Amino acid sequence: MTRSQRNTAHVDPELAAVNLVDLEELYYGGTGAPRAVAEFNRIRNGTSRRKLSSLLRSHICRPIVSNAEIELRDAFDDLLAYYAILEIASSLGYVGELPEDARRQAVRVLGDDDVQEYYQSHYPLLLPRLMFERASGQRTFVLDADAVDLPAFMRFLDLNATIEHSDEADVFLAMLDDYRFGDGEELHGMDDLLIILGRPREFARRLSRPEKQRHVLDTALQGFRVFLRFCRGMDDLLRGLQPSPLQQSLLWHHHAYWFEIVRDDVGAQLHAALRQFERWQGASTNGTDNDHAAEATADDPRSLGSMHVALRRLMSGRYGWVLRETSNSAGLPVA
Amino acid sequence: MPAYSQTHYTPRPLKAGKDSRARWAVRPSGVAVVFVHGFGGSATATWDEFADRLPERPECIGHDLLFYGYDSLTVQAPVSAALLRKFLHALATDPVHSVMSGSLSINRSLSAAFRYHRIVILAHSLGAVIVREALVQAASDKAMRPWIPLVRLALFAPAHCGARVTELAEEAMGAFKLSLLRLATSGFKAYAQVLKDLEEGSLMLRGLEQRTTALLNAGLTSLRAEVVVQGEHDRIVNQTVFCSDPGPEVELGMGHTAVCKPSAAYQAPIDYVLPILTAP
Repeated sequence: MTRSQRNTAHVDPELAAVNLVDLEELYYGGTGAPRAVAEFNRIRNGTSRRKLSSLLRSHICRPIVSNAEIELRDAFDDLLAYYAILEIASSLGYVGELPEDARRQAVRVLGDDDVQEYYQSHYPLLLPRLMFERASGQRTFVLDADAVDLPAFMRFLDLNATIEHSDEADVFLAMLDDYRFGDGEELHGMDDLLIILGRPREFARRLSRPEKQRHVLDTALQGFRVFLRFCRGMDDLLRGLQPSPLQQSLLWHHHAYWFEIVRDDVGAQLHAALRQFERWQGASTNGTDNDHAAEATADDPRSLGSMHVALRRLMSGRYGWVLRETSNSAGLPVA
Repeated sequence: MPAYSQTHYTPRPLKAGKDSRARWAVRPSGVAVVFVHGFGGSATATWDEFADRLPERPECIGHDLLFYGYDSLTVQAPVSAALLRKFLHALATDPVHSVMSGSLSINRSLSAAFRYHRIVILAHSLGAVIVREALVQAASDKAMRPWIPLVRLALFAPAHCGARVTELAEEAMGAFKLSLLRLATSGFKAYAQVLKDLEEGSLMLRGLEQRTTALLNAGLTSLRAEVVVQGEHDRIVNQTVFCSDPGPEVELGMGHTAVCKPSAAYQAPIDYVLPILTAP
């Protein structure tokens, strides 16, 4: 990959180049993304008989059951996540313009009809679309340096790692995405998880089970806990970014898919389960069984009540609004 | 033309411990700051905005920030300490080859002979026990003993004099904190080994204090904490002074977990460690 770049970054060119290498290593090289690119190339140059439209179909039309397909779709998700991070980093001036071969690859993959169908219709994501517009020269937007909170971006990357490197969170997020996991002869999914969430004693028993004795639902519950912690961290971070609404919005959109799934698919049940858990917890802590006990914990940043409030804010979509509006309008900010 | 100042490279994984992370300084100063979390904590989250706020202080922009993670729930404290000791040894004796090269994507123009002139360790709760045990283990090893004087300790809500293990186990449940009495003993089973080590007067804590005292008497003064910070409302750890540590700095209104979490509005944790980070 060539390293000649136009410096649209807010840092010196040498540092911008190192930042790009770091992001490539973390979000491309260390993931399934290269496998997605290789498969994409094989399909498009005719050396694979697989159809991209079939591989990247909506799971609502035809379920995804083969392991090979699951792994390849995961690889494409990794690739899209890489492009999303690049779009954020480019918008913040953390990296310069993409090197020519990387730019061409982005245009080829993100501009492909079947790939676009995947990230625009089946599983809508804004950041890959913006990256495509950037790579194809339709968009060169970079936030003003004084509107960028660099430490917040660094913390965002650390926060990402807590969920991206967690096997437990993987299981929970897959269940959110309608996957079901075998455990003995039974298949378990999100519906089973929600039932357990409504039973605090069973929930607590499963949560404290040693790792070696865990069933798949226990692992998913651990993942749910990781996800809630992550949500709490994201909400803290995003609230602190109120002076920079576009950066706030960019970072939210990186995980918008999950927040929107939670809201649209399991929101009502999840809220009901969490409220029940909070009431039980309040009674357990204070010896009283009323809603006020649960509400009282909402000010404690580590409390379930506080995490519940954070989750509501993330699900509401308010953090994502600014970027969505500016990217849809004719007056899209361009540098 | 640079328009904002980037003092550290992109946060990277650190190939040591569990989920450890590093923020390598663009222009290294020769000081490493190692953060060690407590029971149920995690490498970076325990310290909240420490990594963001420290580089805002001009004296700290060149410090490498290393967030060490370990399995605090199910692995016995001496075992976690042995793993940390190994990491600290690599950091002190061969940082470029053994630590940086596996984590940094570039060579920061440091020669292989580069050594840190100071390693400041910040530890919270159980982390203080793990760190002290690691240093005592290292001090008992001829090959490791020479780097002990490089170390400076800053401890937040340390559990080195023991802790109320029920409350500590509840903390580990985080948001799903429950009365463990209602859970019978199930909550304890997973964590039994670590909690046993942390009971007041446990075999491990008594041994740690005796060995630390002996090493302090032998002249290894860096085993004495430079600063100990306690939360006024901490009901989890026993706040008795350990060996010849200084008396605690008490943070009014703070509890066990908040005391090590700086923010824009709460700079005290940084103010406490700044003199150690900037001393010549």
